[in-house]
This record gives sequence, C-alpha cells and structure tokens, in this order.
Amino acid sequence: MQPEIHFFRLTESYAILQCKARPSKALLKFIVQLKKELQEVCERPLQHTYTEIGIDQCSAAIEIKIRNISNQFRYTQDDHIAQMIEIPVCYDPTLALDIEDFAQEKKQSVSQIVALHTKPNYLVYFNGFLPGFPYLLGLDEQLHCPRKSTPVLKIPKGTVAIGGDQTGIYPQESPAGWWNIGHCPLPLFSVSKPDNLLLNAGDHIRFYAVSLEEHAQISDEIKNDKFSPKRTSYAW
Amino acid sequence: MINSHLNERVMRGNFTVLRAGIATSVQDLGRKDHRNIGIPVAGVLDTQAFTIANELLGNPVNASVLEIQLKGPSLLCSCTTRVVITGAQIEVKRNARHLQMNKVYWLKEGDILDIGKVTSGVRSYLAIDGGFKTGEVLGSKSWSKGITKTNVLLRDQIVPFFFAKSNLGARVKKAIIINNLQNTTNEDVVAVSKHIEFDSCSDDVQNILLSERFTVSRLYNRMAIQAEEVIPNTLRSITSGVTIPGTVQLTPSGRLVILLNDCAVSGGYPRVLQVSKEGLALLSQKREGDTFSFSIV
Repeated sequence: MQPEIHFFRLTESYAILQCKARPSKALLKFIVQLKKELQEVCERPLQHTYTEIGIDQCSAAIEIKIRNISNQFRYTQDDHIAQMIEIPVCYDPTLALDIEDFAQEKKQSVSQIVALHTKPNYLVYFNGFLPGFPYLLGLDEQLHCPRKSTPVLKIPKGTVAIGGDQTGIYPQESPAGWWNIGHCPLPLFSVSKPDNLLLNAGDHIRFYAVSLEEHAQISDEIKNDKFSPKRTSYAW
Repeated sequence: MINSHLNERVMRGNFTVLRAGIATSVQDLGRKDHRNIGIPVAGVLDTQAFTIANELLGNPVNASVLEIQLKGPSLLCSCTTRVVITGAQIEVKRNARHLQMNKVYWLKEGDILDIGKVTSGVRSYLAIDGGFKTGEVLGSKSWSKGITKTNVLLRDQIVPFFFAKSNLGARVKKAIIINNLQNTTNEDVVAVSKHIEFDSCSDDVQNILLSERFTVSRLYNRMAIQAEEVIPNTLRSITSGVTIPGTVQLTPSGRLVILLNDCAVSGGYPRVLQVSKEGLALLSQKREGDTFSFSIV
C-alpha cells in the first residue's frame, strides 16, 4: 500500500493530508503508521478518518516537516496486535424500536436481520461524529439501507443502528436518521477516562445477540463494575 | 510583602440565575486536544468580541465568559466584581439602570444584572473579572453536550466566579469605553478558501458559490448555519472526512451547511469551502434573513 498523498491547507492553522485511495484495512494500517510518525512533529493529537489525517496548529514550519515525512514515508509491515472484542446487543423490539420496520423494508425476518448483523467481523476505522462513536466497516450488503426519510430527535445512548452501508453504536443520546436495530449496554466513552475508549482504530468487533433478561443482567453488572467484554488478540 | 500576600487572597462569589435567557452558555476558546476521539471543539463563536471583553478587564486570554444568544439572562450578584458586555448590541440594565456595551462596570452584592434582547446581531459576551469558575473538563470550561454536566444556563443555577480583591483601586480608573469598535453586523463578505471537494463541483456550482448572495435560514445554532438557497448540486456524498468549524458542506439536496464550533469532527457531505477565523466571527453574528457572500482569500 503506497497511496498518493495530497496536502491541503484550509486555514492559517489547519491542514488535511488526504490519501487517494478507497477505505480499506490496508489503507487504515498505512494511515495509522503514518499518523504515528507525523505526531512526532505536531503539538496537538492528530485526527484520522477513512482516508485523511487532520492537523491542527499546522504552522508553515510544521507544514514543511509534514510534507517531508509524508513524501518519504514507506509503509512497513508491523507486528501490531489488535483486539477482537465481543459486543453484546439486544435486538428485542422493546429496545430496538425500528427493527421490525427495518426487517419489513429489507423483506427479511427479524431473526434473519439479527443473523446477518452478528455474522461479520467489523473493523473499527476511527472515532468521530460523537465522542467515542466508532466508524465500522464490514456491514453485510444485504443490510445496506438508505437512512430513514424522517430523522428522530432522540435515540438513547447505546443504540445500535444502521444507515447506508454503515453500522455503529451511539455513545450518547442523539438525533438520528439511522435505523435503531438494537441496544448495547456497554459504555463507549466516559468523560472521566477520555482516553479509555471501548473501541479504538484497528480493533475488530463482533456483535452477539442477548435477550432482554441478559441485557438487564449485563447492565447491572456494568453498574457494579463487574462486566467486561471478552477480548482476544487478533493480528491485523 | 504584605501587599503581595493580600493580592493572592480571593473572594468567592457567584451569580444566581433569575432568568436563563435563550441558550446562554459558559464558553472559552474550546477543547482542541480531543478531536481524535470525536469530541467537538466548542468554544466562543465570535472570538473577536470574546478577546475584546477579556482585554477590557485585563483577564487572561482564555478566561471563560457567558455567551448570550438573542436573549440574555437576569443574574443576581453575590459580591463585588467587574463585568463588561461585548459583541452583538444588547439591552443591559444594572438594577433597572441602562448600561453601555464595551464598558467596564462594577457590580456589588445584591445587584441584579438584567440582560435583555439582542437588537443587532446574534451573540453577546459577558466577561467577568478573572473569568467564571465553573468546572473545567478536558482542558476547557466550554459547555458542550455530553461532555459537561449542562450545556445551557438554567434558572436557579449558581454560576461561580472568584473576585481578585487585589486590584480594586488599581483598575477602577482603567474603565474604558471603546467607541470605534468594528461593527461587523453590516459586513457581509465572508473570507473563505477552497476545500477539498471544491474542484469536484461543476463550473456552474463553483460560480454560484463564489458570486451569489446567500441568506441565513431559520436553521442556525452553535452546530451550524444552513443557507436558504438551493444549489443545483450533482456532487454525491463522500466517505466521512475531517470537518472543522467553518467547513462549508454542500448536501445532496443542494443546501449549504456552514459548520460552527459545536460541529462533529467528521462528516459525509462534500466540503466545498473553508471559512476563515474572521469570517466565522462575522457569520456567528448573522441571523435568519441576513445575507452574505463568499470571497476567496
């Protein structure tokens, strides 16, 4: 993976590096490694998306360093070990307010939707949109679905949703145009431990279905600090 | 020696909110170190009015202020302090007597500062000696949904500040009136640069963006301003990319969305322009029906 890289200056202090390539696991690895090198010459934490790295406080002097590093950068196979995290999701219509409508829209049964959603390994690309919100890739094509025609003003914290070709978990209450197909009792982000996100770029996740009773039990255990999701090392 | 010891003594004071106003919030220059985990920058929208307010009081550059939107709060003061109001022209009374903008005033225990309606512009700033002492979260006092406990001022809320007793005599003479403050409400040319997807726009769309006038729609808040006009757009959504305050997006339905400080750190609409810092301060004072145009710098 050696994508073409473009430097865009947006304001006196802000710039974006963009890789000319489609989102992929190989590109994510490239971006994460490049970002690590660039961070050495930047003051503020760098932010990345599927194809970009955002640079704040990018002075003219830093711009020169950034251009040099990214021009000379060559990806080297790394031995980074990511994690596979098992995420419980309750797909019961009591919590998953849109799952029946969504199933109808997709001309499938609710259990088929659950089977399709719990099958893949998803890859976490980056956090954005809301604090701790994971951008995931891996949603089965059969579940791709345009956003709802009318967004709702509030979906609860922990909602698992589908919009377009993406699926995600809402770390806080939010307006949403995505279909609410489940609920995850695990907190993704806490202000008191901001760097201790549940999901980080490079992690893989798998959803598993839990009943309403199991969901309640896990929620209780989380309250008492007794639940942590199953994690296994996963070479990327 | 004795004096310098006294200088360090501070007195705790606060405002009790008698009436909250519309979307009043504590803001400073925002939290810029956590965008990588999805946390919005937040912070004052009119950075120029903010800076003037703190300079008039001799405050640290990042001292927090109250950002007032369209209608201000009524505040009961618990101890002696000094305040100044800058930004959008707004009606202010201290115990029923009118006060001027951009002028430092004393408040004492029991005074009621009644901040009324904005008469021109959108956002005014109330700065106080030393800044407000509300909690700092992730390096900033700026209120932000999901990050700080509250994101708008509520009735009966207590807003704490410290008053540095030391400067009583020294600073009272320094009260300044600024007469020739730049009045930005009549300016309407917003300085921009081209964003990444600008070149993907058709020639027609590029021309429209850089020559037409746009009108602020009723959809404007601290997250974004949406323009009234519909642009015949053929650009499709992009894979989510970096967005910062001032990024101008063009939606598939042809709407221009100008992101402000509470915006998400990434988004999937094509990014056509980037507003400068000065342009953002100007736009933050535009309200429904106001018009503006973009100009490349």
